[in-house]
Amino acid sequence: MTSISALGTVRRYARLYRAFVRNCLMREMEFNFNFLSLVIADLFGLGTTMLFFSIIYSKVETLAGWTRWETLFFLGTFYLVDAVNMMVFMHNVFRLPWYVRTGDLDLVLVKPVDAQFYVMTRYFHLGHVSQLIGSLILIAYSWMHLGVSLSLPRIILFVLLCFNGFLILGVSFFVMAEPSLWMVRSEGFMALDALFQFALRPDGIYGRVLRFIFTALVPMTVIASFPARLMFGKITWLEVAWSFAATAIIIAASRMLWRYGLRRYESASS
Amino acid sequence: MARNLDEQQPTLQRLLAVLSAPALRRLLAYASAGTQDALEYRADFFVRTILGLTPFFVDALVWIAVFRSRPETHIGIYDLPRLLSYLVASQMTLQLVNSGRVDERIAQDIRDGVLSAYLLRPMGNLEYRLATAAGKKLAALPGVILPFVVIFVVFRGSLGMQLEAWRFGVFAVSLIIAAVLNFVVDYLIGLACFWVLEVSALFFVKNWITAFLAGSMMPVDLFPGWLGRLAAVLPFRYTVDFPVRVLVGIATPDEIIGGLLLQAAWLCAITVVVRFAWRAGLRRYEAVGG
Repeated sequence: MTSISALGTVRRYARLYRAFVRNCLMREMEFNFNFLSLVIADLFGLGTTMLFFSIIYSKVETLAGWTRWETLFFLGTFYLVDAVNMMVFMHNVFRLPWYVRTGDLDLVLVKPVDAQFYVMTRYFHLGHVSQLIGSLILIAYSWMHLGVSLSLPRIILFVLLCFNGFLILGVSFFVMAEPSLWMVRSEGFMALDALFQFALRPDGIYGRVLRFIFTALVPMTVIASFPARLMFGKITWLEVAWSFAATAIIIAASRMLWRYGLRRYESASS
Repeated sequence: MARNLDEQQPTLQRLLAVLSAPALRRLLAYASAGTQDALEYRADFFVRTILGLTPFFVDALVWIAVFRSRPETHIGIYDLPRLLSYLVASQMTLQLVNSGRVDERIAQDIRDGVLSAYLLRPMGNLEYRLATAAGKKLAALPGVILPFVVIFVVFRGSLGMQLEAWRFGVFAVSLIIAAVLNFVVDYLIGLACFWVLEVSALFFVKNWITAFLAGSMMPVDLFPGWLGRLAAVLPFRYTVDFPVRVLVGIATPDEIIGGLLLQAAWLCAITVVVRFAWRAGLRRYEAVGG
């Protein structure tokens, strides 16, 4: 019985999410200036990082064991995960303090839908689709030079690990936003934004201590280095298992913090 | 109207007027208001600065890996200690010359039509903004510098800096010019809002370009040919790269004199463009506002 009702729930939420996306696409077509600026900003972000590494690789053959094509593949993976997060979660996460300040959270809480799901996914941003396309091109291009064999299980596991990285990324930022339910300001965003930079470099450059910190304590390497290394066959099963476990832990934490925050949340005005 | 008078005065006369005692007092008043404003958020500055150090740590780790991955001890003129000291100094300089997002503020004022209120102030908008920003910067200074001093002291063994007293003096001078130069560039970008409604894309592009071409990610003289030539003819390297070369002991006395002159020349040139754009923009602004 539970499995049937769980399936029904998934189907209901999928339908709801389709409605969110459709609604946002219509809005976005109306403000194409904004769309253009997102496209330009994303492409420049991608461009400078590529430039940085192309200069680095003009000085070395391999960087901490990563070849040029491996690093390019890693960058493609990172920007893929980042693009999906930017399209799905990120703009919503920034909205949480705004929901609280305006009292609009009250309206969300009375809707017949999980409030955290609603707040995290309500607004879909197509604008980052250019980064998505750019990253896929990068992945395809670097893969052609990698010369690794493809098998279906490996591709499926790669997609799963990327999806896992996307969840970790979005939910960690949401965890940082959650204190705004009961505090006026929080520095958490800035902190995570800074730590996030450690996800944008191949994890080979970290020594043993830093790698432990950025894998076990703040799972930054899990976001893109792990899926990339899976494709080169340079990953252990323990690392794969930990990727999923870390996501489960962070989701559970965000859930607990959300409940706690709602208990302490006092509606604005009225 | 005060603004019209302001606009009609020749630039030289206005410059002299700014230097006169009452005008100077007004500038100082705005500067100290800016300082008080910023002091309230000093803790904030401190947190920001510490977090602002992460790009340095990330890039330092990359460069350490680069040096470990090759047999030679030097890349260009840099050995690892010298490269690391360049990176620390450039992160510090980048934060010190930051204009406090003057571009976004101006763009917002123009878009919202709030600019009219500023036009009644007893000085030009550029001077007013510059004074406020300078005051804020003064308050932020200890918070910005302290973490870097800590880094310089803790890692002094791994950083290859020849600290000489005179270099600090010249660095301070070039830093001030660099900060004002960066300020007028940002101001100019903000003025684009007179003509374009949505300028956030312009900010992004400008931030990415300047961050890279100024030398905040890697020394400008490690750029490949075409990029190096591009960086050489643009003003951005004078906002970070040049003061840093002065501080960490790369720049020779000859380069320093030439660099200071070019810095000043860029500053004058862009200020003239700002004046021109301001006037042209204001005519447009009036036309829209009716």
